[in-house]
Amino acid sequence: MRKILGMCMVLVLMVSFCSLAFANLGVENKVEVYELKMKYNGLTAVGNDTDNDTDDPDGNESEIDLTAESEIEIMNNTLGAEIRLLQLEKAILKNLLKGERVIAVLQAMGYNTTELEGILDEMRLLLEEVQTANASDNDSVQQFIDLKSDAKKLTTEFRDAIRDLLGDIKIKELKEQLKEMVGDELQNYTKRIQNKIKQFNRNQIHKLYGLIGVTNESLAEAYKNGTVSTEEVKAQINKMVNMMIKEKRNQLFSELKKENINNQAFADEEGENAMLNFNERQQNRENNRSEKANNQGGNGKGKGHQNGQ
Amino acid sequence: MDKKILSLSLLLIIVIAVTVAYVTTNQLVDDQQSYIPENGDVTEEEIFNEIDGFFVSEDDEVEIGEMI
Repeated sequence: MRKILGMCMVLVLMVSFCSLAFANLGVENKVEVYELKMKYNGLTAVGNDTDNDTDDPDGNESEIDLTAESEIEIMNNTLGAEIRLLQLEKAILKNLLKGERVIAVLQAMGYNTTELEGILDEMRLLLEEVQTANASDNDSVQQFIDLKSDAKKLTTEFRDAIRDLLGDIKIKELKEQLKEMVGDELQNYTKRIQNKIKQFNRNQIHKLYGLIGVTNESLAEAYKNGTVSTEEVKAQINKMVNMMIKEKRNQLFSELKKENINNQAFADEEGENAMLNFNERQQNRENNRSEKANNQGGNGKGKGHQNGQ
Repeated sequence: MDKKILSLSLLLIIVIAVTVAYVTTNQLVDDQQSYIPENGDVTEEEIFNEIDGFFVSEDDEVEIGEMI
């Protein structure tokens, strides 16, 4: 009988330790989530300050860290990745068209634009790379971060080269001349991007419906037809949620929060992965473009050039 | 003696069962409510922020800076 008692005591001790271990695991998980939330909050606080023209020509790593993470949250599915790549394509094309206009104006004024043309040649090659990037590739986020970083770098180089050439007063005049520039090609991109975003948001409406437990499709249909805007959809869903009982609403809030934090964690992880060997990849891309530009008989950035008259 | 040991064992089993049940339940609640404020009240604004984070604005753009 004493043996049984002894075994019971051992059992009690084992179960107690297991319970404590489980409880501790729960606390650790909570701490991990809390740390992640804190980390993300810190990132977005700085990340909102996007493109403040403080590009560092020597090292872009801190810049990528702060500007791209909020953008890559939606890239954990192919449609989200397609949206971001298309938006990048449009941004590069817009700058390319603007750059061409600037060069035309400067040439008419008699300036030497060799350096600017070299930068635009490289930007054209960059545009081709963005166009051929595949949104469903495993490394689509890394490609996006790399190519966006190159686009920012070239844009800054172009802007600095013009500043050297013209000075601030003439730049102001030039800016006024080029203020309204919306080509058909850009409009076409805007429409394509908007359609993809609509498709993405429609998927999100269905996901939210699933979480709320709504089967009525009228709102999703109205959004699809364009009779209801994204803001109205958000307001309608918010209204639905506020009519729910407290427990259900809290549960939904937790699920939404979890989903959003998972996206943030994805962006965080992918952002960190993109940092690895970033400079090496950048150097390789630049070498490849220079080679291509030389083969095509372009100016090739970095070739001898003269600034202005 | 046997009865005493038996009742003591029974008591221990009950204590263990209660402890395990408490820990498990507590952990489940933690999993579900780890994002809910301590007072248990999620504000309208907090929910709206989460819903807002679910969607992408149609005017959203990737910024690479201006050429001039």
